[in-house]
Amino acid sequence: MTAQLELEAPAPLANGASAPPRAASWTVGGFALLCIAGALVGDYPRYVLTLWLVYSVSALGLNLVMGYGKLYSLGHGGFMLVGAFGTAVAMNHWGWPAPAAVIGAALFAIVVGVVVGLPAIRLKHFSLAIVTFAFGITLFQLVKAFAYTGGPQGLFIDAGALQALWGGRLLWVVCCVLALAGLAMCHRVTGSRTGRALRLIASNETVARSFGIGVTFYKLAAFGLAALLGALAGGLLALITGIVAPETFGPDLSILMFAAVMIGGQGRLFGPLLGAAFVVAIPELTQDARALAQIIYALLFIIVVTLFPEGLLGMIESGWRRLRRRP
Amino acid sequence: MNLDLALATAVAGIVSGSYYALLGLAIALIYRTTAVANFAQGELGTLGTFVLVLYVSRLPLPPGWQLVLSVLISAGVSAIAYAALMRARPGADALNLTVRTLALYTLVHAVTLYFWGANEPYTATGLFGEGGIDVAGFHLAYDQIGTLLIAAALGLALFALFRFTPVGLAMRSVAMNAEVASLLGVNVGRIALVVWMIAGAIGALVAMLIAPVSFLGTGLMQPYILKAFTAAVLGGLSSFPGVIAGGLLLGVIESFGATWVSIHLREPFSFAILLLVLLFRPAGLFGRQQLGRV
Repeated sequence: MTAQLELEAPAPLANGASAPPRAASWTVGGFALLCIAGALVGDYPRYVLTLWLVYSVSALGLNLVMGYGKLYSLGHGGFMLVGAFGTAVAMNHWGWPAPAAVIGAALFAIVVGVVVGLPAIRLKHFSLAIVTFAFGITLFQLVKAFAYTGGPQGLFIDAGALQALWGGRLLWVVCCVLALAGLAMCHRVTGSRTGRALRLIASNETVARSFGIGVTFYKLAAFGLAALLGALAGGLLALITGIVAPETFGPDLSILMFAAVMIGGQGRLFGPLLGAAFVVAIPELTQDARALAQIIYALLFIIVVTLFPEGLLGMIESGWRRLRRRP
Repeated sequence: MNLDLALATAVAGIVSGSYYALLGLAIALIYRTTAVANFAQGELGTLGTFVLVLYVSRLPLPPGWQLVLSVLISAGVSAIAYAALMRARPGADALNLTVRTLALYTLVHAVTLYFWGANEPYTATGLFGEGGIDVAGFHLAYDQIGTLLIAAALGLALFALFRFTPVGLAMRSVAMNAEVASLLGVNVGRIALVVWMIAGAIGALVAMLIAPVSFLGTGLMQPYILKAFTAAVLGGLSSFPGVIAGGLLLGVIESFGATWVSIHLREPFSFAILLLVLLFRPAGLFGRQQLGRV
């Protein structure tokens, strides 16, 4: 296969660094509004919004690996599992306070991410997809097998006090801040040397190597950062729901995250937010259809990924470009 | 561990290994011709089994023909899936094509759950009847013998197809290099369609072999699909006999691991084998390393 060198500058939205500073203030302003709006609505809509942001944070991490680095990672749910179970174990067994537990679990997840990234140094495509997928399933089986992690039922966290703060709004604000911080981090990373290196590795690893780019380092860094964001999301999810059940963090979650990145638009900064909105909102909106809901979701999923290979954001971008060209 | 137990473990391992091998073969076939990891492979088989057990088995046909009819239906479904999903927007990259198969998996799973989820698990009657035979004091169930015979026959049939027919030759050429094959006049699209049909048929047949020995539910093939992927990667995707060897090896090692160590560590055990093999041979046991070119 002959690969083409992509030397031309990427589209403005795909490259964080060239986005104008105004975009940053719009984003911050938008998040502030979202945060206030979320605080004003009822408990159920706020729960859905919280879920959306939690999944967004996780998908932002996966987007670094898969969207920019084009490294297949089908075990992202495993990082969320590490975050959630790490938080639960630290709180229940070691008596850590909640914030320390989440941060500790996230730091531990970086190590796990780097270890999971090790096969990516040598493996590609199919093999890497299977190894990461198997990693997610293995973690799922392990936490189910050991009593220390609660066995098949999982662990309950006593986070009632935290959940009740500000009438349940504290965790929502934390989610907003974390999502914004995650966006800012992805923006910094993808616009920097790391992002350029990852994109070149994605387009042609041999060329990247010949330019003196430390391929191994950047691949591991991408996995480490992805694990960090995934684990933060997982830990938050644990605090929000108060239950850490293995089934929540099984292979289906990995597939869901993969889907979110692909539906939103891989390799685009805001793609994960849009994709997470899709995977959270569609099941909620179709709840009335009961048994049919899953079929509707699957059909929409198929239509989006088949008709718009660049994801929803890619579709919006090309539609916008077409509109502007026609005066 | 005494000899009888070791033998029984080995036979059980070979039987489940042959499921992995056949499914892995279907996956490797599709991967080699369309560059896609087909995540829907198992679910399509589950769908075919439901069609057989709940609808086709009521038709006034002898059991053998019912089986053939359901396998053909599955092949047709697989072909439709290929034509509808993989042909649309052909410019997309492999990552996008892979996520399309995940979407297909979600759809097929949702459909089976919608129509048949409420009453699961169903019981599927065995294809080979109850009981078994004793060979030198060692018990072999008819199911096990039948499965092994069918797997061997299928493997030989596929080998003959690849080796001796023009379609098989075209398939091998597409698997080797689709661009060159198309330059030499092979209709790559049609070959891919045929490959998807064959893979659909294999998947359905494996699911129909598994259904009688486990519960027939909507999650029938889920434990097997990852093993099949593992078998495909273990054997090296470029060599079809390698995939079969990888599947059998995985089945036997896993079976001994489950008996010796712990049944709970079955999945982690197979993951460890996968990692170990890929550590020393990134292209799989029998695969050739692909050289990159700039």
